[in-house]
Amino acid sequence: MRFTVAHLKRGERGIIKSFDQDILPIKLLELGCLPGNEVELIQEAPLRDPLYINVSGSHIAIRRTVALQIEIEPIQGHE
Amino acid sequence: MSKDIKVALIGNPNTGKTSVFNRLTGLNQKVGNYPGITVEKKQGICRLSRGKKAHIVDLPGTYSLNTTSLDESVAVELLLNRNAPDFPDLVVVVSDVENLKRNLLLFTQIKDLRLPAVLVINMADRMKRKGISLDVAALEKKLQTRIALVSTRKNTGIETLKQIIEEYRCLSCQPTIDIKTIDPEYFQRLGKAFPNEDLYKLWVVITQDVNFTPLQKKLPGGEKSFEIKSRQELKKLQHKETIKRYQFINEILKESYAVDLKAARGLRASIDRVLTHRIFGYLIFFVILLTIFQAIFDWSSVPMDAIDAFFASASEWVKGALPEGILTNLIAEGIIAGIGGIVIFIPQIAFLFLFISILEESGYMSRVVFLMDRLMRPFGLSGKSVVPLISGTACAIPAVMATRNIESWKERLITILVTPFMTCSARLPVYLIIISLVIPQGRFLGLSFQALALMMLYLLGFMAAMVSAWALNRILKIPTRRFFMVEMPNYKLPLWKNVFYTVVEKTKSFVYGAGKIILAISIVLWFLGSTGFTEDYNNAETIVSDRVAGQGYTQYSKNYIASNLEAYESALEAETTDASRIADSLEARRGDLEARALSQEIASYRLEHSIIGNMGKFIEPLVQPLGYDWKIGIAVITSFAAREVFVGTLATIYSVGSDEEETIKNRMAAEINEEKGEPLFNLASGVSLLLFYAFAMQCMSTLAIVKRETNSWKWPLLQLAFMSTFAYLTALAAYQILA
Amino acid sequence: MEVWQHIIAYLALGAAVFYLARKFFFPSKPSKGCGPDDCDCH
Repeated sequence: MRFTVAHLKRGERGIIKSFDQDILPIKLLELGCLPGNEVELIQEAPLRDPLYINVSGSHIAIRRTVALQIEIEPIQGHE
Repeated sequence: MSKDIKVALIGNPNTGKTSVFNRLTGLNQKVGNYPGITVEKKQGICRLSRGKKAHIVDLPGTYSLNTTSLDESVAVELLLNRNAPDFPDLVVVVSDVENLKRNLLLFTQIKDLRLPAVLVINMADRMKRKGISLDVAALEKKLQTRIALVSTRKNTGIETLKQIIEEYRCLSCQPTIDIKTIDPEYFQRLGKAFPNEDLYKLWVVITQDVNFTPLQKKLPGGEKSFEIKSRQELKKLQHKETIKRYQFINEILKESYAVDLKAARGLRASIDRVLTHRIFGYLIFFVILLTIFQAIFDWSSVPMDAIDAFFASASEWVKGALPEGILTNLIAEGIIAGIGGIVIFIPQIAFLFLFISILEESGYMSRVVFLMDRLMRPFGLSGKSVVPLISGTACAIPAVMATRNIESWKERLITILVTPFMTCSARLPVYLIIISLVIPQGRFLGLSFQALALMMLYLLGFMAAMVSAWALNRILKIPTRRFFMVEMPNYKLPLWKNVFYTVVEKTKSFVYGAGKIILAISIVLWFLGSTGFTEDYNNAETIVSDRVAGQGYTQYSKNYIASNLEAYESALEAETTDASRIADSLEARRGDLEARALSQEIASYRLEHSIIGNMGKFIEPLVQPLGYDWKIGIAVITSFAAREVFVGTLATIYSVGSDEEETIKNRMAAEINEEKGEPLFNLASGVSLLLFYAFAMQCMSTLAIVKRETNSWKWPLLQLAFMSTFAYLTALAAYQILA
Repeated sequence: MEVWQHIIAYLALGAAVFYLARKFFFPSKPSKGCGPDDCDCH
């Protein structure tokens, strides 16, 4: 199964593996959403949408549909 | 002017760019936490040493040169057009120390345009708290630029920045990366087609189109025979460029920038845990909203009453102090009433903008956007629609402009179309006066009926907005990528100076913008009401005198005379017991009152046959089913330009020719429906009017701004037609059911 | 005096009518907007 940002639980982190270039807006890349960077899920709104994430220092909120396009490698056993 | 150094200030949103601008120029305006708040081009003069000056333009915030919105394209266009009068001698890129990495992305792009660029690293005061260490000298060397470490909050580093600006000629124009490397073959062909142009600049011009269609591709020298890549391909290249830039930046920062994560535990996470909580977050938002509305009403009622009283007495004073004549009447009855109608809004508008700008400055507004996005989506709106909807309770004009940062065109369009349903402050005077006339005193659960009625109207406006958004979402077939992204800036205490200047500026622009229209309309109205061309108008005096002699006074006049006499009689009886003196005084008083009643009847007869009266009679059949007479009809028509004109129009119509210094409310309460012989403003007609104003568009300025923002007449006209029809039908139904 | 009152009053009327006409019938607003195209990020 693909593991994406949308599969993270609150407080969990992961490393971005890849994403669908055609769907993801360039703005996300500019804010640091690039392969190899770390993502942390800070908060989720009810119905798990939108998601409030910290990606390499940028604190942003994105919708679930976009989050599902960002594939990550989860980081186990944080803190 | 030509000797001044021209400086463009650019930077990511939420970097405190506008605060830097304020510090440099002393000419204050807004700094927003909300992306894209600086919409207009702000300019100012910065005084340097030895009498030199820098002319500074504050550009809208942008994350990169890949523009995705109108605001961003404004910034990029200025940097591309070497012939523009504002084309900068140097660019000051404002960044914030916490997000230096992503701020540098924009910096490298600007540098690659071969413009002299300075880097400002703002919020330096936070470095220690965030565990950040920075080697400025090393970074300056790597980036081949000068760096000013600034804190706008503590006011440090500004002098260094001024000095760097002054020495801008020493700055290097070396680019940072070679754009050719992302696709050598493509750029080689591009270079061949446009041999005289800089490749990176060409690239920015070409990609402007990819993200933001309305900008025309202004490639120098025409299209020539150059194969253009598809959007998809260009986008891939943009991705590649971004990745390349980050590689470059990471390389640079590795040696000069470090964050000690252990030291970097901030308040932010704990505040966020509460404010974005799935239950408490909403509760807090709701409480904040309620508090704001409560405060606005409580705080503004006192100054509003004072303003009202002031203008009433000013009008009286003018009549006494100036020589009699048409101009005096125009000033007293037309102009002063008109200005009063504008000034009375100032307290409310100011308070509303005060709260909104505090919410934005503190960073809370972005949390609201986050909380509300999912709830708004079924209605075809975005979380970002919440800000315009809240601003819409002040005025739809800034609210429509605040939709600019909504990414999806469909969500933005729907927001624009439904925002005018929100109860703006211009509706308030109409609501307040009608509610006080037709809603009975009394309380329900400790709340007065009148306050409840007002709350209902606010709710009704909001529901109308949501329901029509839902319908529009179904009807409109606009293919759209529903992308959504909002930055959640760090919380900060609002800079009070910034808040203050926002309030002043917004209030000023509202007063001048709407004020001029209202003033002009009052003048025209006054003339229309005191001019007439018919026989009836010219011979009003004889006609009315004859009628009074024949049939006696109208019911209104009879009541007026009787009630005044009664009051006079009881006053006399308290003074004296001499019956014959009482009778004499009463007789004299009666003659006095009859003369007044006669002149009032003449005035109202004149008004009825003046130009405006004839217009009113003409449209009366249209408004009669709603329970209005021709005077209200006129007020409805004139307030088509702006709702608040309604009360002013009635004030003007009632005061034309009248000597009485009565408040407009008393005058309205005394109006009789001639057909039914009952008060004109009763529950049925009052509710019908309230509903009409709740739903009708009735605002020219909003139409104009919608036209500008949607770039077509189609949407404002549709909006006008829909809202007016809906308003008419609900008002009609309400009157017919209640009457 | 009466004459002056008339002149000034009608000048005010003229200015008001001119202002309203220009504002609503010949709006010279810059027509720069996002337009019907998607302001989307692609």
